[in-house]
This record gives sequence, structure tokens and C-alpha cells, in this order.
Amino acid sequence: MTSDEELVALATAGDQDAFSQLVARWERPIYALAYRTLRREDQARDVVQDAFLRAYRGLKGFKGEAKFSSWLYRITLNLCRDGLRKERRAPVVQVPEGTDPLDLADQRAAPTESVEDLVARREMSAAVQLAMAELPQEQRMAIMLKEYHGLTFQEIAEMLDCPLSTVKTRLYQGLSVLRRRLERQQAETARLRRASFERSVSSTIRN
Amino acid sequence: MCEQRELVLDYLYSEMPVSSRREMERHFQVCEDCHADVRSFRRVREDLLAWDVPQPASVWTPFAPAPVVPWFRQVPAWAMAAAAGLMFMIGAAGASAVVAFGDGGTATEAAMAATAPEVMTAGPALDAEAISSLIRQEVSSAATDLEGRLTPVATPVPVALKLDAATERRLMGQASQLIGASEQSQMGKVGALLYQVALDAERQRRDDGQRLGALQARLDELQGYVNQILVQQQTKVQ
Repeated sequence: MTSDEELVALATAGDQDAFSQLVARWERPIYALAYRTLRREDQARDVVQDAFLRAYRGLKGFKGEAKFSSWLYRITLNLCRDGLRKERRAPVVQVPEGTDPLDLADQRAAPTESVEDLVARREMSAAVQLAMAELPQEQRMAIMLKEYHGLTFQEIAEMLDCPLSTVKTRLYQGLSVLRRRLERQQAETARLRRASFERSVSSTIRN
Repeated sequence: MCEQRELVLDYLYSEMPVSSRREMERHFQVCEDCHADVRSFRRVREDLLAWDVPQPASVWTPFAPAPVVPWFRQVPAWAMAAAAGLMFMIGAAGASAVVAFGDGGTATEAAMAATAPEVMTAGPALDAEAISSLIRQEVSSAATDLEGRLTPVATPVPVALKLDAATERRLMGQASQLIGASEQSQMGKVGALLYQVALDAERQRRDDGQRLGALQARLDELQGYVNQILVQQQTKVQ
């Protein structure tokens, strides 16, 4: 497989197909980063479009000192920050209210996944989004880049312009907070389920 | 606080040499805090995997091929108008029309009336019966001529198809395969239909459940109001 650096060289020489290959390779990770940062599909799509456009225009200025992916991540993060700043909105997660059964059948990870498993997965997804949204932005960024994009501590430090030890501290603190919140949310979910079950049982007995 | 705690993340994300990993694992046996951190962080990492991202279609379109535009859409409107005007002028000229350009626009006057009567009076007058007779004569002579030219064609004799046993077996096998494939395809379609029906039924069941739940919640809410009113009335009475 042609490396990113080779494709960048070809694209810099005017090969549009080479740049399209880079896009195909990195579009999903970049979208995931934008989506998890902004938590809105339309804005994430705009950011991806803008990030690749900036990358394409800036190819000649890209000296290859960092990896192409790191450079692209950095552009994306800057655009996300701009977006958050412009909106001046608190990082509030739009946690889906209830579960739409129409979506369920189509969203199962595999045909063997039961609807109950799917509901549990979606609940966990919502819980994670909520817990992440409550973290300070620095901690959230560190966790996202590490967990969802597999960057090394050093790469994250370079991307966020901070010392390596700071990255580790943010990550450690973030994971600790997440642990507490997720445990609390899971306990709360279990309590609500139990209450709902008890209600339905007592209602059945009454009727 | 344990001094090794800084290394917990390096261990968790495998960003340390194997020898150091072994050392950390030995440390976990004596330090419950670090060990607990690793265990709980691993659980958190598993939970984090649940945050899935919708996968949209590609959002990158700048290099997409330009949409195909019919040739007449590529011609500017003024050119189309000019061409239409030109065609009209040619048509008018062919019909001996007089086209005059003036301040009030374009005026057209048909000039056919001057020539048409001459054409109509040039030949002898023919009645309908005579025309019909002429046509019948022409058709009859043409039919006679054609019959003379045609030669009889031999009727094809059906030939019995004789196949050797091997070819017949091969053809039968192929036919059987085709029938089998067709049956399989039909069964697949039936299966897909049944699955869809089951899916629809399940959706309907869940929809109904949700509606019932919402109704129940509304009833509970109303019951709450009623109770409140009752309590208020009782308080007033007291």
C-alpha cells in the first residue's frame, strides 16, 4: 500500500487521485474526531470538508516534519475549537430520549445481536457521551486522541502543544473522573430498570 | 501515593518496553492501588468503545466528476433565441411571406394567395369517381406485376433433434442446476420477505408498547392531579 507520505508527494505534484486516496484513508477517523468533539453530524461533516480543503491547499507548505495524519488531526482540532468558540455553547450532549425501535433493527452490530444487547449498547453509548461531555476540554481531547485514534503520548503532546507529562496527567485525571461517573450512571440505570420492572410487575398484579 | 503510578498509563497503553511491563506486573502484586487503577481503567476503556459514530457517505466532493449537462443546456439563452428567430425567418421566406421590421416590431404577411390559384386551375377538373377508378387500375397492375416476380418458396420441413446420451445428460444437468438455482433464489426471496414481515410485526409491537406506555404515563399524571385536587379539597373542608 502506498504510504501517506508518497501520496502527499504525488498530490503535491498535482495528482488529484493521490489526494482522493488520502481522503478515503483518513475521512472516517477525521469525521469521528470531529463528531465526538462537536457532537453534531452536520457540523462534523462541515469540519471534515473544511479540513481536507485546508490540507489540499496547504500541501505545498507541509514539510513532512510530522506525520500527515497528525497534521490533519491538528487542522481538524483547530477547526473544531473554532466551531465551539463561535457557537459559545457548552458541550452539551444531545442524549437520545428513549430508544426508537425503528432504528434498532437496522443498527444491530450483527444479525445475531439481540435487541436487548443493542439497547444496552446504546444506553452505554449515551452514558459515555454524557460523561465525556462533562470533562474539561483538555482531558476530553487527550482521551479522544488516545482512545479513539490510538495516538502515542508524544504525538498527543505535539498536537496539543503541551509537555508529555501534562498529557499523561490529563489522561489519568480524565479516566479517573470517567470511571466514577460511569459507575454512578450504571448504578442509576440499574436502579431505574429495577424500579420500572417493579412498577410493571405491580401493575400486572393489580390488573 | 505510589511512585509507580505514573507508569500505570504507559502499562495500560503498552507504551513501555516488555522488560518494564514485567516489572510493573510484579509491582501490581504488591501495590493494590496501582493494580486497581489498571483494572478499573480497562473497564472504562471497554465502556468507551460503546460510543459509536454514525458513518456518513463521503463528504469530500471537490474532485467528483462534473454532472453531465445536455448540449442544449450549454448553449446560452440568447443564442437559442437568435437561432429560433433565424429559423422563423427561413420558414417565412420559404412560404413567400413578407417580413417587415419596424419600430412596432416584426410584421409578417403571407403572400401565398397570389400564386395558389394558378396551381389550382392548372390541370383538368377530376371528379371523385374518376380518381377512384384510376387508383384501382394502378393497384391492380402493380399486383399483377408483383405476382409475376415472386417465386414459390419451399415450406421448411421440421427436423427431429437427435442428441447423444452424454450431451443429453449434460443438458439435463444444466437444466436441473438452473431450476435448483431458481428455487434457491425464490426461497431466499421468500425468507427475506418473511424476515421483513417479522421485523414489521416486531416494530409494530414495540410501537404499540410505547404508545401504551405513554398513555399509562399520562393516566398516572392525571391521577396525580386528581389526587392533588382531592387533597386540596380535603384541606379546605378541614
